[in-house]
Amino acid sequence: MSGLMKLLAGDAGLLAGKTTDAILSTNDVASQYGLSLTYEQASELQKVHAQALRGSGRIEIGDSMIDRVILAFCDSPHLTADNYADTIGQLVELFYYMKTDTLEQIPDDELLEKMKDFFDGKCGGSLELLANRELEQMARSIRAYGTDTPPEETAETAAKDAELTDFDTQEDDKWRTIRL
Amino acid sequence: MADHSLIKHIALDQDRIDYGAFTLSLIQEARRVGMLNDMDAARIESELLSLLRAQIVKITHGESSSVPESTADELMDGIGYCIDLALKSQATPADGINLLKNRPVEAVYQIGADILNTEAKACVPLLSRVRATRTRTVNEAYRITLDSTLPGLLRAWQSSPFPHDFMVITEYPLACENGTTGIFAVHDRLSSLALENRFCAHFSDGLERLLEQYAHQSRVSPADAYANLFLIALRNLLLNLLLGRGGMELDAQSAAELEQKLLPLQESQRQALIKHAADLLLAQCAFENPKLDDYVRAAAADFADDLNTAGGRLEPFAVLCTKEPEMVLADGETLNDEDFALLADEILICETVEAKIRILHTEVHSLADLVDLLAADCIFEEEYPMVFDSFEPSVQALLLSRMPFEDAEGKIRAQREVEWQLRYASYLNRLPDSRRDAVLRQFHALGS
Repeated sequence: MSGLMKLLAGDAGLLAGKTTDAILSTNDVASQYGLSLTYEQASELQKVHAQALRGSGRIEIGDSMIDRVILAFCDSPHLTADNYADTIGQLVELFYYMKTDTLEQIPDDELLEKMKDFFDGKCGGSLELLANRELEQMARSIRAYGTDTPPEETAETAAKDAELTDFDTQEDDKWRTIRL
Repeated sequence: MADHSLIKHIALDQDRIDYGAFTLSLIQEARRVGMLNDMDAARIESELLSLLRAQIVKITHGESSSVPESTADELMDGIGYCIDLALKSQATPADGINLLKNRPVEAVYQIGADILNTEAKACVPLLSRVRATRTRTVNEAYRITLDSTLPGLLRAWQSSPFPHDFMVITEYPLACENGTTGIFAVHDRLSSLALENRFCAHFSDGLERLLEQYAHQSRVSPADAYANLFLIALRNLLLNLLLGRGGMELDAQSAAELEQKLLPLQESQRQALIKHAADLLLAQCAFENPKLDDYVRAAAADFADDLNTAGGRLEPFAVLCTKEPEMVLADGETLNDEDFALLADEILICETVEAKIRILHTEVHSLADLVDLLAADCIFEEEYPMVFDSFEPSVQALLLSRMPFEDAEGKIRAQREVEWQLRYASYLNRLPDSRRDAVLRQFHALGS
């Protein structure tokens, strides 16, 4: 072990990512949709971001995802001035959680795009449905089949599945348990 | 205003430098003694971060701005490994610090990466040479190492982005292993094998016979023997030279005589004798290869140390020539599966053990069939002693040759939990000593 990560971790500024000012600069775009962040909210988002990275055991180098999440979601019809900062914070947390949960298989942009599609579409702006239904299903599919959409069921696959009904499956956040 | 150029740095304290985390400890020590200031340290950290970023971009194809901590740690350890190498390649740690101070971190990293790449490139022709000069042997470990393991290691090295944790394990043991790791370990193994091949080529005539004798002594086949050909040859050559003669063959009586002379000697005397024998051997062989001469001397010195550890006893080291077998098995025809099954059924339904013995003696013509029938559940527990007793000592010795066993203080102990073998060991242990000895004598007279 070189121990060099300690050297970098010792200087929080190096790994901290975007400054509050950089987050605030997204107001230029978001304000076109009637949304903006205050300095306090931007500062709070920075903390949420750092905590989300720590919580998901990840390291980010370079541009922080906060502004990319903001720019991806600010045109959503489900965001209002009241829920804007909170929702962005939760989306940032969800983003890093999903990176790990999908086994690093989805690029940043693609994940953001899918999150946005689900959030605006099937989930109707519900973060709970986004996290616990759509993204969960997508992650499960990636873990099981290596693709974000499960293979379509045909008569042949249905027959095969029927043969394999002699076991129970259980899933939690991380593991899929099969009991024969 | 103070003239900072007049301030002399305190020397680096070597004890504070951790060779396992060389770069980190060197930077910390250089900061402590003032060889690196805050600005230098900040630049180094920032450039390290750039290197890490570049590697993350490389492995994620630029599609992810974040990675799991474990991945970042591994990447940084790989970077650290290269920088460590570059700094260690400098004459002194202070020179290493000057390198870090005056060159971009990426350039220092590249120096280390170049050292590794040079070593890896040198391995390719070396592997070809080792394979081209291979020793002709049936030993599988040697063959697998040359044909599969070492080429595989070189391929794995080229595709590995994390060279710091590169494991090098080979099936074939080398005479001298110097504890290097990574691609250096591959290079060292290849260099050693090239030297060992050259040595073995000089003694190729008797080497395979020596391996057979070693295998016989170790109760394995020559193909499966875990032995270094160079080493078993060298040891026997040195022991013969101590007896005042050449060659590799060593009989039990000569070895015993030599052992009697070595046992009372002091360690330094044994070392001097082995060294003298190694010098004699090198003079006789005239390899004209200083590296090979040094390799032989180092292996001889290790042998002297091992001999001293064993108190001068030769048993663990000397490969003794086995006598030509006095008894050779001329096996008869083996039954086909169908006939074998019929015979097993016939034996099973016999009403008396005498009837079973009669069938075994008249219908079975090969040792393999006899052993299979003993294991075919057609002979009952209490019948085994009578069946065993019906065979002549020569057949009893043959049966013994088909079961792994140990002879512990006059007691035979079967090494496998196979019913007939356990019962046979028990039968032999109940025999009078004279009869058991007769069986064992015949067993030892069998060819391997």
